[in-house]
Amino acid sequence: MPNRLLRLTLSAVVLAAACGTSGGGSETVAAEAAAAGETIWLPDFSLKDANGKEFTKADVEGRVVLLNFWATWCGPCKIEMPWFIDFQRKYKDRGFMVLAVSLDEEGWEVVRPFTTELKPNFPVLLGNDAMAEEFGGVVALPTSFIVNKKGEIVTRHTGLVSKSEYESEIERLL
Amino acid sequence: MKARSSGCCDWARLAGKLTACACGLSLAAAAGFGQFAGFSAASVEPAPAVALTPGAAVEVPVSVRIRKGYHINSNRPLEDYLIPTKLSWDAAPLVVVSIDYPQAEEISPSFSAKPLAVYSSRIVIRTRFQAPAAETGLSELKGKFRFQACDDKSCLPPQTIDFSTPVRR
Repeated sequence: MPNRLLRLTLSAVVLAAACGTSGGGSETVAAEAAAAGETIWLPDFSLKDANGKEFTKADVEGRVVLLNFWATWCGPCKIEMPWFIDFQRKYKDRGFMVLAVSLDEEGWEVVRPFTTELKPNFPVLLGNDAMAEEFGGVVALPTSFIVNKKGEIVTRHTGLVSKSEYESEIERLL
Repeated sequence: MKARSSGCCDWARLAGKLTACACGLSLAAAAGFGQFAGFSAASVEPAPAVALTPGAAVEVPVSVRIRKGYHINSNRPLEDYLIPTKLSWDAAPLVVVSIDYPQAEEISPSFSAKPLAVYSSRIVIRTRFQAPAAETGLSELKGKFRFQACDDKSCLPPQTIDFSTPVRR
């Protein structure tokens, strides 16, 4: 199963959280997978934006992708959004793309006002249980996955990390 | 693998021994979203039995323990987008007269330009009920505690804990 290792490591995040830590941090998924003799590929997904336009894995193939799980009630998530707008503007023409997946239970009713104000230059999609499961479950927000041009998940960030950390990863993969 | 905070759990050990860390894992709360695993940053402490007297008012304290390193939003967050802490009851025929939340503390986490009104550590929420003139026959008061927790870098989903307070006959 492609995301077996993700499930393992994300489960460990849950336990780390239970131990009184945030469960946050950055994990080099590719290195873990390589050590286990596996490659962790971006799972298939099919999600819609506020206009009903469907996005699938095929829409991001061949690009470096920053796939971000977030929610409107998540303060740290809101810090990252302007960064992602910068990244999308700066790197789009070099084969980079941000995908923001909201896990708001109330759906577009709460997400749409936020995106109307933010005016993101990248797709904002509404997530669901099935997709989060494909990524091994999401234990805290924000959670972001960095995917290389081959479609391999390289890094997972759980919790807020620095803009420069994201940027150096993106630069390295482009 | 990059460095990460470990607390009492070492990441490398965790990967192989997911159940080995004896850190008081709590799975009691119902997450608002299925995709979030069952970790809870807060728990409702068992309450002593309540004595009801027909026609009289009674105060019921509910104690909530918040895990170290986390905060939950107060019942009146300073930002509209934040989910307030809320206590609710299913205790008819008792009438809820008032629910008194503790005073919030204001913090300025790195992720927010504005201060946040939050609770941390342990709080007590006091509910004042009015009992009807007749015997109620209640054996317990059922309540729901809803909250949303964050630490300084990440947030957990809104959660609701179902609890009950026994009624002394």
